[in-house]
Amino acid sequence: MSRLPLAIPCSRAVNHPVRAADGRAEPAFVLCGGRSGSTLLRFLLDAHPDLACPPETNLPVMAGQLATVWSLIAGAPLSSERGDEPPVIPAEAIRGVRRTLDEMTGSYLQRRGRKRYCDKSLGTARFADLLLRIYPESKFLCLYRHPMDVIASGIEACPWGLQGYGFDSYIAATPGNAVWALARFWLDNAAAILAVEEQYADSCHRVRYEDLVADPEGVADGIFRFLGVASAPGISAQCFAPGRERFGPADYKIWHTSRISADSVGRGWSVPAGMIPPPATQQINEFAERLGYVPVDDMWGTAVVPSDMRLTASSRTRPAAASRPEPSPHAALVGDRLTAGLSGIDRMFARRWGSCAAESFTIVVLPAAGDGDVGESLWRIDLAARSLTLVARSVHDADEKNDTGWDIVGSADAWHAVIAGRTNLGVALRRCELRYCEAGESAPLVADTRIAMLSDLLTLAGARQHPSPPGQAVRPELVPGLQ
Amino acid sequence: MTGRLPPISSRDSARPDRADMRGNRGPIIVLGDSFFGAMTMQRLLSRDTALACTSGIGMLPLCEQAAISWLHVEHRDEPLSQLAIASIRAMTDSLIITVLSGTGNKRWCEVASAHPRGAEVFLQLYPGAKFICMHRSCLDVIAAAVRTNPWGLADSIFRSFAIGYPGNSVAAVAAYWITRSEAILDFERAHPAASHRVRFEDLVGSPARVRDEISSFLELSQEDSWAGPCVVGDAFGESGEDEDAASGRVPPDMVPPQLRTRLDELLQVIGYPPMPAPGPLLS
Repeated sequence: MSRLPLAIPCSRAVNHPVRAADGRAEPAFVLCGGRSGSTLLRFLLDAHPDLACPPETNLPVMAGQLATVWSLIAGAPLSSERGDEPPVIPAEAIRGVRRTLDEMTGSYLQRRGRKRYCDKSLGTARFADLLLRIYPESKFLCLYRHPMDVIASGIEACPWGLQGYGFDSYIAATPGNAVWALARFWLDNAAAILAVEEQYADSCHRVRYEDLVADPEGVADGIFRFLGVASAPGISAQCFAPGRERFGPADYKIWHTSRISADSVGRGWSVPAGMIPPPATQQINEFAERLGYVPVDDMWGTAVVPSDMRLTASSRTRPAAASRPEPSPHAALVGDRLTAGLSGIDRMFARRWGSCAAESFTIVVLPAAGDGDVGESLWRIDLAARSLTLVARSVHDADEKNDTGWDIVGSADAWHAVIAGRTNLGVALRRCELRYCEAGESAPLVADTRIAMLSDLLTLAGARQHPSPPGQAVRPELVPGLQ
Repeated sequence: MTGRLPPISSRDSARPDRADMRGNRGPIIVLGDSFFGAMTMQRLLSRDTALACTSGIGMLPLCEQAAISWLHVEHRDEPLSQLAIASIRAMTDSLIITVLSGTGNKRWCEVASAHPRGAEVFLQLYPGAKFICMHRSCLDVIAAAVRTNPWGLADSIFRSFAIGYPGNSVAAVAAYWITRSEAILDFERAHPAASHRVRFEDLVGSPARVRDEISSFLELSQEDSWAGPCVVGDAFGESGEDEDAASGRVPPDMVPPQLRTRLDELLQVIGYPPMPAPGPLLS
């Protein structure tokens, strides 16, 4: 992502700011990518009595285009690449762009009866240099959100294929892998915004979505202080009052929202991190560290959902749940099914599943939402011994190695849905609601066989229709690729 | 490919397991994948005590590849030579017999998600083979495919189609549906006596009737009849065949016009209503 060129280094010491004749404060710009909570931030800004923040105007893009046209008309040298911005944007062009923008934003402010214009358009970071030349006293609100939550949000917003929100070019490069496409989307946006933060620290104020939803009043107050406007207590509730401008693109959910909630934090926990190539994951984690987010590691999605996607002191020292061998109700349901399945194991079971029928494995039931600090429930199944053992594990023990060859991990809700027949086991695995993990690498069909065997053991739909004797089917649920 | 099977030697005829694979007791192939309801069909068929059901073991692609290799080796175009047919069949016989001996069943039934090209070769090897051709409403296939693959279609049977329609899973799956449906319909037309069409909606809506038709088509004997009442309700929940298919939510606008025309033609042939008219997308 290239930035627009400057005629002179963009330092306010050498810039020649052009101030509005009416003395009105210069605009504030939200630097953000799609699905990062920018519409919520816009609502908060727009709810302040001094500020006006319309839906996405793409004003910075227009400023860039205007600057290019003006530069060419002013006789600035052309770019070596036809169609690119000229290498130098002369001051005359900057003044011309500012006049145009002032006219537009001034009219808007007048209509709204507000004093300061704020703009929330996707991809604004690319134009930060130019915007600071046009408005040397402008401010940037740098908005971030945990990458995996952005990915989850993007996929939720585009269930039929990634379109809009700036996703198109990313999915075109990796068609069929929305996770990687969105990971690159996040990386590009985060890199651009972080670069602006680094270069223009005094003009920037960092806002993390997770902070915003956890403490909207406090974060809003910090933003308002940065912008030099008065505090506005109660603004987190007022921002959903009727009166927000509805034209232009925005988050499709915001119009059906009446309060700020942290419910969507951590939804990226179900995103299969394995679909992102390791070099990209490494880059994500470098940025995540700079932003104070939990990294995306090998344990992603296979342990208890972190209570916070931010690296805070409290998240690091979260108290461990008592290691009591008492399953949650959902975990108990899984245990009941396993007990019944183990008692029904016969010679035909061993015949159907071959060497897998003598293995040991672990079913991990992660606590359901609202279970607080309750640890995971681990059912260890020893098929050879026909035994089932419950092991309660605290969040502190999450890194402990299992002594079984393979695990299937999932939330209590996911297990309940499978056991109750609401969700097919194959679909749950495909959607990563349940995850198959193994120590080492087994032969290609072994994982499918184990999963089919588990389906048999849990007497799930489909497996029920294959009574053991006389053994009609060879691995009835053995479907390569879970298709 | 229109090659004929070589005569079966008396030595071969003496083997009862081979005899079971000829004539009306030939292998059964379900053409379709789980998104077309093939797994539900497999579950129905596996209620028959004589059938050994497998799925996706790759027999049809194997036959297709072996046929291609033989054509190359013999420097000839279709049809396959008698030698080629005998050789490929010896290979497939051994696989099928292994399945049958492992289960104690008499007749092999495979759910094959592969392209029906392999079915053409297989039919040359086993003229008594029966093919159940699965069909399903395009919108339901799209809904099931997207629900099953929320992270993208890359690691799925839709992969090659996703490349053609980046950012549009609806179009990718629609293109897949067209390709598969065309191939299966072509096969049905070419081999009417060997094929039997089943729509997934009929299978779950009128399972008893479909079962009777299939039983007649496959000439299943009375002693091998289906065990217990015919209830396919719990077949829902199979990968891609779930109750949450929610085809009503599929945005028809995302099907490009060039696909829509062909889609509607095929839907009509199979007896489905045309695609809904594009409407405004709700945001």
